[in-house]
Amino acid sequence: MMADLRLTKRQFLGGAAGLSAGFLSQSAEAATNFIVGTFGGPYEAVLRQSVLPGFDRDHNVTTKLELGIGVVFLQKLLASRNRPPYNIFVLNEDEALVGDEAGLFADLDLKRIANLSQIYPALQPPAVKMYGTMLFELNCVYNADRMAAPTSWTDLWQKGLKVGVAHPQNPYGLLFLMVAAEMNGGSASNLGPGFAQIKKIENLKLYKGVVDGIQLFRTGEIDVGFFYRNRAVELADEGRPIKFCRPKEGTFGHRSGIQVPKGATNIDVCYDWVSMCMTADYQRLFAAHYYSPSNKTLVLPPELAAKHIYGEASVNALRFPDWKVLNAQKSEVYERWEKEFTL
Amino acid sequence: MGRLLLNAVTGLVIVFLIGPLLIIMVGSFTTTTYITFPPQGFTLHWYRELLVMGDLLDATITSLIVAALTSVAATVIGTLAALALAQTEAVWREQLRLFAIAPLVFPTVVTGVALYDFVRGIDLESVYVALVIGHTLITVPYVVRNVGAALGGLDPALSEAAAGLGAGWVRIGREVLVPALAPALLVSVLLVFIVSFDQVSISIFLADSDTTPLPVRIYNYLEWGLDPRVAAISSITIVMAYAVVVAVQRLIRLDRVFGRAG
Repeated sequence: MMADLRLTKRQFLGGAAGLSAGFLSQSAEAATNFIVGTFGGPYEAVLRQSVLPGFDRDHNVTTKLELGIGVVFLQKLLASRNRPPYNIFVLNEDEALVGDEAGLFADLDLKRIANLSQIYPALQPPAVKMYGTMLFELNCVYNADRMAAPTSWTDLWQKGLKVGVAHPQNPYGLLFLMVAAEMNGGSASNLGPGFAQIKKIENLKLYKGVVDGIQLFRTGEIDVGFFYRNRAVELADEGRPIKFCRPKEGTFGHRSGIQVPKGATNIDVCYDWVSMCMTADYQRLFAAHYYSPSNKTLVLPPELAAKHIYGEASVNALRFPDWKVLNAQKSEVYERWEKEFTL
Repeated sequence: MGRLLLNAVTGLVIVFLIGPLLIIMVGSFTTTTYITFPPQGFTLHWYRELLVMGDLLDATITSLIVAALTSVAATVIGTLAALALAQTEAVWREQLRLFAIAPLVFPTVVTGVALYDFVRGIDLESVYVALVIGHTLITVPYVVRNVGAALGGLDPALSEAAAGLGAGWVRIGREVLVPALAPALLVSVLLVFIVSFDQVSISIFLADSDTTPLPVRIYNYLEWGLDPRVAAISSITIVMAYAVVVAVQRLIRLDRVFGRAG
């Protein structure tokens, strides 16, 4: 095996003499390294502070986090020719479908995943092509100082409202296009009418992603939008008059989870990681940071539970769109969006 | 009236250029858990947090190493390319020049995906080397343009006179070309360093869990919220960049360098 001459930053600071040797001979992933592709922000912080120390000790591995998003992880897997750079990685349900169709995932024995039966059926295979760890509700988020709670999605077309609409590269942007299409005679497989419907919004404020959306609510630049419930709660916890509601046509669930790439090393540890992620104890850590649990046995204090999409009845009431149908239209939708709307 | 308008436009340009930097810097002292302007209260908490977060320091050092090495590699390659172009027959020169600056035309995300495919294909294990290759690829065109422009303004009689007096190509390069091109080379080094230090879309594909440049680290934070820690590290970077410019100005009179290179 090649000697480990990996250059650390401290070595670099200590003496530049070691630079060239270390620079050119960084070794491959060491046998005991366990690489997890994961989201940044609070998600990463919880992993580092509350999960990794115990997991590494129990499994005699060094878990390293590579931060990113599902679409980048998938692209790297596609280019890796069965030598995946991760043991585990996070992704969303729409991305999981793409990865599954490309044959990128290991065929795990579901019987070896402890606690999988504790997960809502909608978040386990075969309902999704991943092992669901958290759930997001996409609903109507509004500024209670500016308007009464909308009862229908059609209320967003009222005159005088400033409506935030996200780019369809975001799942909630694409789903809002679908909602608009359904209002105008379209459907998930016929999104075209949604473009015309969105153009009918009097004060339309287009934005690129979650961070932009949050800022627009914070600054009062938008009154209402199709957005994440957990983000509305986050804004409310900052003391802002932001609330969420469920229009009569229904709200949507967006599922997030983990997958093991085909060809991943340390497969026993991978099983243990997946099993750990399914537990109520693991998901309790994330519930404190606005990530709604997929484990149906997790009991949350009432105040915290109210912030989440929580309980089997609530989860079953969500609409889960057919992402296979939506994914197939993404390229065409993005192209048309760029032509018809400019940010 | 004309002068008043000019001053007003200049003032607006300065506000738009400096304003965002000031907002980030002032916002880094907020006591809230998100960036806000004006800041609420005053705290150095987010700067103390950076000290605890060793990964941000590591990411900064990674970016400095990659940017320094990229500056050397891109300046050497770009200068040699510019010299070669200057000596190429006119009929081919324009085609080759377009080829040399082609990396600027491609979307860097596409370049990033292709590079990742390439480095995995050749089993290149060092992420540092991959990052330097990627950054060099997209920064060489800046050097070709800069040095090429300087070469265009250089009197060929200088090299010919040196050759006529018996100097070889190495000596001509060392004693005639390098001093004459020094301002353009220095500008190129600075430009490449800045572009490399700021690079995200290629780095995001080439980085791994051990080697993550600062912009990628910040981008991963921004995906999830406007955390004041990002404002704190950005403020430090801004101050560092300003300090470098002031130091260079004191040492070698940057205004003259840019003036002559242009």
